[in-house]
Amino acid sequence: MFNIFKKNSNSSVEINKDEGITPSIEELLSQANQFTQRIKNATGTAKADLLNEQGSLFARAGEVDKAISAFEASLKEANRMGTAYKELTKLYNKKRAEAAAAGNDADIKKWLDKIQGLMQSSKDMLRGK
Amino acid sequence: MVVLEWIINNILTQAAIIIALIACLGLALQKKPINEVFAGTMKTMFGFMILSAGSSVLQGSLKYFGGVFNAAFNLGSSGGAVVASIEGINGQAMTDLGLGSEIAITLAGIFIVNILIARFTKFKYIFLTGQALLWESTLAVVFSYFLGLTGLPLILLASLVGGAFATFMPAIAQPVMRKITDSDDIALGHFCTIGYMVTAGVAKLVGNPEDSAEDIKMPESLDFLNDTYLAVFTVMLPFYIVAAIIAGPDKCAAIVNELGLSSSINFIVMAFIQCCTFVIGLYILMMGVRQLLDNIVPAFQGISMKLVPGAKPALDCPVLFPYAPNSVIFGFIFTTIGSIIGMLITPFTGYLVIPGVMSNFFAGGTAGIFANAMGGKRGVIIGCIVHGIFIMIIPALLTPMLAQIGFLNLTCTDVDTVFTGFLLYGLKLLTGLFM
Repeated sequence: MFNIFKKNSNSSVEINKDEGITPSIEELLSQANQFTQRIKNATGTAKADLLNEQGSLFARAGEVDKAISAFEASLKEANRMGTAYKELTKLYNKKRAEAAAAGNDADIKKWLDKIQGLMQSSKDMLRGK
Repeated sequence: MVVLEWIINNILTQAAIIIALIACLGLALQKKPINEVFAGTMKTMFGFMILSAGSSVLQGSLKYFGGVFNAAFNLGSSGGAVVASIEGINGQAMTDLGLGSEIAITLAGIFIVNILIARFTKFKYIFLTGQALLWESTLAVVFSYFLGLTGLPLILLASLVGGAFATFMPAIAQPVMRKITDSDDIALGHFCTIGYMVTAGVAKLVGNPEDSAEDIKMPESLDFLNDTYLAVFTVMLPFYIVAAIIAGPDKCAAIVNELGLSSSINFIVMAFIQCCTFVIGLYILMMGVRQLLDNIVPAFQGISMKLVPGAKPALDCPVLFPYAPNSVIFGFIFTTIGSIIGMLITPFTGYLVIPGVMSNFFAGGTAGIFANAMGGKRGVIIGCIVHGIFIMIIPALLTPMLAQIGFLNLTCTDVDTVFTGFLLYGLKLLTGLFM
């Protein structure tokens, strides 16, 4: 609804998002892997856009760790509001919930700290820091 | 018996030590190594002492400002200018009112009540914003104290009320949060929820969510807020200078003498220096608050996440900023316009409330996101102006009660904490009827 950054994405890789058709995990992973070479060749915001596309596909395929890596790489490439922030918040929270279910204190702290880091970063960005 | 009495009289009455002991307990529960437990405990104690020092610097400046403002505008014997600063309220409550121990224990009590409600009811919200919980704990304790309670009954009532607010405020905001985030994964942990919901309601009435503020080309940041304290200084300076000019050199000199400040300095230069002192006081106070919470909050966050299966973390408002960055900027601008209108209305309550620039940014920005989700551009403009007025009028209504308790030239910002005050004040009136 508010995803204006996704709307502006220039990616030309076709993603099967037709309504009513749910791609299989294999299809999603195959689509995600198609981005790898193009990501290597791209730079700046174009690279960040491709990483976001790849991260979204990994997330839809349930590959949470790979999705996190892609979105984190996207923010490293171009730190800006939008898809990467929103998706990372959800994915970090998912990892936090898994850590809580496993009773893993260190991981609960790790993922809460990462969420905290995202919030600090978005706050700083809007204040021009 | 003598030893126990000595410990109670000399150690357990010291707020700094009580707070340090709570941090020590939290660190021990996390099974931290002994050196970390020691370091964290001592740092928490130092944090409280830094907070006290900041509060005292802040108050020095507020005494001057209150005196000069009243000399200039004279809003009546019981009125005056008050600065909207929840940080200042916390500082005065913890130090001058001697409620530091109660506030610290209640903070832990709020965590426990929040965990219990989330564990045993369908409201799985765990409030994770440490600073906001400290503000809620402060107001819950202050107004329980206002009810005439002390000791254990005060802590129990304040913990119950604070814990209920920590659980139910995120629940109230969640329908709009779902609309904003397009998921039910995270909740909002910021005690300005009532203001956000008022904004969302107004925006829904007047606007159209399809006409989003996010479609407008905007600057990506508010650079002048780059330095928090410089922004506060910029807003406060005109109030200090204008009040000094209108009061005139003679009245200013009398106030300066009364407060034991150097009377050889020009009255306008003194106003400038006192404004700087206000900002420095706020800076020191916030440094203390952060250090104090650093070792208390993480322990309880970890514990609560483990004890409540399926907990929904209620996070601080910047978690929403990436969802609608334009709306944050519009929200700040229109909330500020509304708060200036509100400020002009507040003298009718007997007090002139001076808006807090940082609360306008965080609460205003988040209100902008809520308004945009419910009413698009038009919703943001009208909703946030109403929000600005609301967050001035509501604290103004609480100010006479705060003054009665002993707060000096200060009022609250985060409106949920103000409603905590109203709730407990209502309880005082009700119990008064039957006693």
